[in-house]
Amino acid sequence: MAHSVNPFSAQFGHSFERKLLTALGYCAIIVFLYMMPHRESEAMQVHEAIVQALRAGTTWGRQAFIGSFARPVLPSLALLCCTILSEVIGTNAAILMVSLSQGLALIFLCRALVKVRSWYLAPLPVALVLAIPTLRQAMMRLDPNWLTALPVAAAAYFLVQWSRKHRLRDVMLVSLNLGLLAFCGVVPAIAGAIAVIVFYVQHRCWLKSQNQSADGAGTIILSTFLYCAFLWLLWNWLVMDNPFFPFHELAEFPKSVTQARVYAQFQARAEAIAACLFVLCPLVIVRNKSHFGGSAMTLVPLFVIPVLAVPVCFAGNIPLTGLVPMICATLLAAFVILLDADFAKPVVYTAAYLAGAVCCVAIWIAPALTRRDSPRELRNGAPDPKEITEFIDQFWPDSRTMLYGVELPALFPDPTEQRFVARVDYQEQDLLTQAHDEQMHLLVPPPTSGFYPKKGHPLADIHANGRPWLLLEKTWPNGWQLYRLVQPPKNESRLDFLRQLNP
Amino acid sequence: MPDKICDLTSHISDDPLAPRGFPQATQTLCTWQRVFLVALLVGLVAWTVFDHHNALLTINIVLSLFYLATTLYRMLIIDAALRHRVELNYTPEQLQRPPDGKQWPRYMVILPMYHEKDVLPQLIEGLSQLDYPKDRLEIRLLIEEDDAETMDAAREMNLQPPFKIVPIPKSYPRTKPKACNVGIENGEADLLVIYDAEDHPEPDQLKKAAWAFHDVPDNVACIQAKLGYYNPRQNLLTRFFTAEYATWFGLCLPGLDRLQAPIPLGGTSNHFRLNILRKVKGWDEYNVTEDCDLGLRLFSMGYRTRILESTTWEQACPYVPFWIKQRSRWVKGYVQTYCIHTRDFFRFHERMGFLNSLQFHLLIGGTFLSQLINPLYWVMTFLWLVWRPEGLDQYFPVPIFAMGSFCLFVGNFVFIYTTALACIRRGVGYLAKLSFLMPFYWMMMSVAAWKGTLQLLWAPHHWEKTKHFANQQPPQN
Repeated sequence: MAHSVNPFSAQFGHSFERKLLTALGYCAIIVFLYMMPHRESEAMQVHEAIVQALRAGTTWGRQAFIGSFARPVLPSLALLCCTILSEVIGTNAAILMVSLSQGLALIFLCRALVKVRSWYLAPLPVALVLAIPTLRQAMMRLDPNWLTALPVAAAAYFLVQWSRKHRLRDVMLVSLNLGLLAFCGVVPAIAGAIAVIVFYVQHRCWLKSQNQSADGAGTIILSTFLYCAFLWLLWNWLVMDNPFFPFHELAEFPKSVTQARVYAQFQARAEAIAACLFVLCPLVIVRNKSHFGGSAMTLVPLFVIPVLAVPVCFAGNIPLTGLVPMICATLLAAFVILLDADFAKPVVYTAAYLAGAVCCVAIWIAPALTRRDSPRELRNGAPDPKEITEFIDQFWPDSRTMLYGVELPALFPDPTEQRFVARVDYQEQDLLTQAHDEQMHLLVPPPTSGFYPKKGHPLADIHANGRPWLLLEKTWPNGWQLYRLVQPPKNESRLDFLRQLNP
Repeated sequence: MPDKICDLTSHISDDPLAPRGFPQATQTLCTWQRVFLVALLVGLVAWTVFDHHNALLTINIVLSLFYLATTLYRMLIIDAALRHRVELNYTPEQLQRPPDGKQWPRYMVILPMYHEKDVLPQLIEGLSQLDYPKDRLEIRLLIEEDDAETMDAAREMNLQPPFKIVPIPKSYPRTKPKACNVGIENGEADLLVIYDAEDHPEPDQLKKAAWAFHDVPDNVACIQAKLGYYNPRQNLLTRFFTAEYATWFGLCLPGLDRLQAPIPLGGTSNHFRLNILRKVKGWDEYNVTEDCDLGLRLFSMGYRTRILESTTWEQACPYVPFWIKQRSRWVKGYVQTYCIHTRDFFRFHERMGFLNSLQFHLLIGGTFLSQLINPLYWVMTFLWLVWRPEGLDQYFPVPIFAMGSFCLFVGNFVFIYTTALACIRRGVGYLAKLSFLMPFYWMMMSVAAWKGTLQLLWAPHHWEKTKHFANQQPPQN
């Protein structure tokens, strides 16, 4: 297929003026996104707490940074970098992080469009985001998982480059970006893993078609994802003492999800899911007809898996980590690639038709797909931290309150750990040991709060049955419980001599 | 002996550090460098004794920053190489005619040899296949006068032009660069290339180089062809070595070329404009990596080096003891070269400019220094991963920990990954998987680096000659 010559490139070459103009355009996109009104999100609240704790050097900070599928590493890391940067340049870290992620993703898509078509179509992805209310609304949500859109968009850009030139560098960068999805949550990780395999198959097919050796192709394409996954397991081993710690949380999830609930969620979103499949048709057709067939096929798992995961996440009341950004980025990427589809003549009409189809889906799908029965809020009836401390201070002014999980401690941020101490994993023996050294309280949310799986989790058991060494001191009307650990600190109990007699 | 056109062997200066008029490795360190090193060492030891926490913390911070800088620089080089192919390349059709349309430039090929009787037949056979007009070519076998076995073997072969035996008189230092200097003191040629005794250059390499010199600006004094190994499948060591060469010649040198950075020349297949080579007084006969030194000297004198897309096939050293010897000489030479070029510290940096100086430090200094300090950090990483000793974290405040983590988790993977990429790019993709075992090879490199550095103290000019083995089947061109 002959590619159109980019007149802008032809006229200005790689002149300084051109680069300056392009850089200014990119900055304008990011500044514009930064200035847009944003809505808070529970995800940002949690990630901010993680970053705050990480900077304070607390154990929970390290644990929450690494050991959760729902609150993945990469958004926390990006937020940490933006927080440090914001202290220097005086911006809002959360907004900066989200607008940088969205902006860079859009820039990659704009650049992809320049490569596919021409420079004058470059602003089209930005225009689409502004024109389609669904996308606009989604982008106004201050969700750190927008970072997931960045590797997706970057992968799409390098896929376009790969389709055009088949350079080794593009193969590497596609693999790298898909590999980074391993740090973006469980669904993006699964989608990334499948996309990497699809890409490997596509690249291998291309090499075979050119009578080139495919030796080593598997190594460079698959190793990035495998290495990212390995790193994540290694970090879990180092921080959580268990490389598979987050999988335990994942394993508990099916216990609280019934097949009927999943089915109901799928049924409620049947039209949206069908609409998504509508995008797949042209992508699959392009596979055989277009220069960008391999790229289109690689995008398919990045699109299908998040769409199918949405109802499952709703059924399990688990966060849609990165799913909406991923769907938005993949939709726009599909739009870019389909714009160059050439399987019918005239090319322009075909492209316009396909791109229009994607836009229609984009308008329709997101609200239907992400519609909630009841909006989820992180606080979800949790007692006020001040109320808890004031209550405890009446009798136990030195007591600290223990919190477990990732989301619950994010509600009670205390980087100095003076009043609230947090751990991601519930270790009963550690808690008892600590209770020997100091007076402790334990805050337990109700199983319906969504802070832990309803069945099988130790906190669910404590909430239902308590423990011999826990004294229930307060219960809130919505089911929250505050226990006091009745293990007296060492040398403070009048019965200490009994311990020495019978250790 | 024919009359000398230039004198590349006589001492013209009383300066013991520059007997031939440019800084040489007669002594590794000049006075101020010795004083500085001793003072630094004593100062650090004293500081560690009196305040070990701050001393070790500072050392760690400096080394971590150095690690980070070299890692980022290596990533920059490799990205530059992957973005665009900068190697000079020519099609067979172009090579049908001389670059100026009239006649090919006169070419001189020099082959320093010492106890290479066994590989001589292969060498002659390989060089006979060079596709270059014989009347414009002269191949000089530089054989030491006292190397009777090689001399006899060469004479028995009754070599005809373009081959010519050039006896090298016995004189000190007895090094390869000295032989090369003697070998080019006379003779008329436009271009010159140096090969090793076991080399098998691609037949059209001279023509490609001639075209390349025609196309590049006059200040390009040297064109470096790529080196590759013809025995990668022999054993694990040769596989590692091949993967390493693929990275160096397939990614690093093209990357340096693209960045217009100083290029340390590879040991053989350096094509020169002979007049410039004579003008810069040839190789430093005291330096054990005279190629690296010459590349940097050319750069600092305003000349440039480019990379040619043509391969010379060599023999990868298949045995660890010989490999260690060869590698230790390379590291020793890098240290020598680094010290020599920084003798006149301020003038050197003024001449090179800030960015080029920085690249020199990161590339030449960074290469040997990282190999020397790697074992220390491997041990610390191992301790941290396995035993998690108390107190180690006090030397890793958060920013240093972040830098260290980046180098450990990202930097090492980048080095491994780029080795895999380089293997594919150089057509040995079946070695890509092996790149994940490269850390074991790096350990051997560190052993050799320490050997070379320590040897610098007691035998700075000792030449650990690379052993060539005759039983290997060279590639069929």
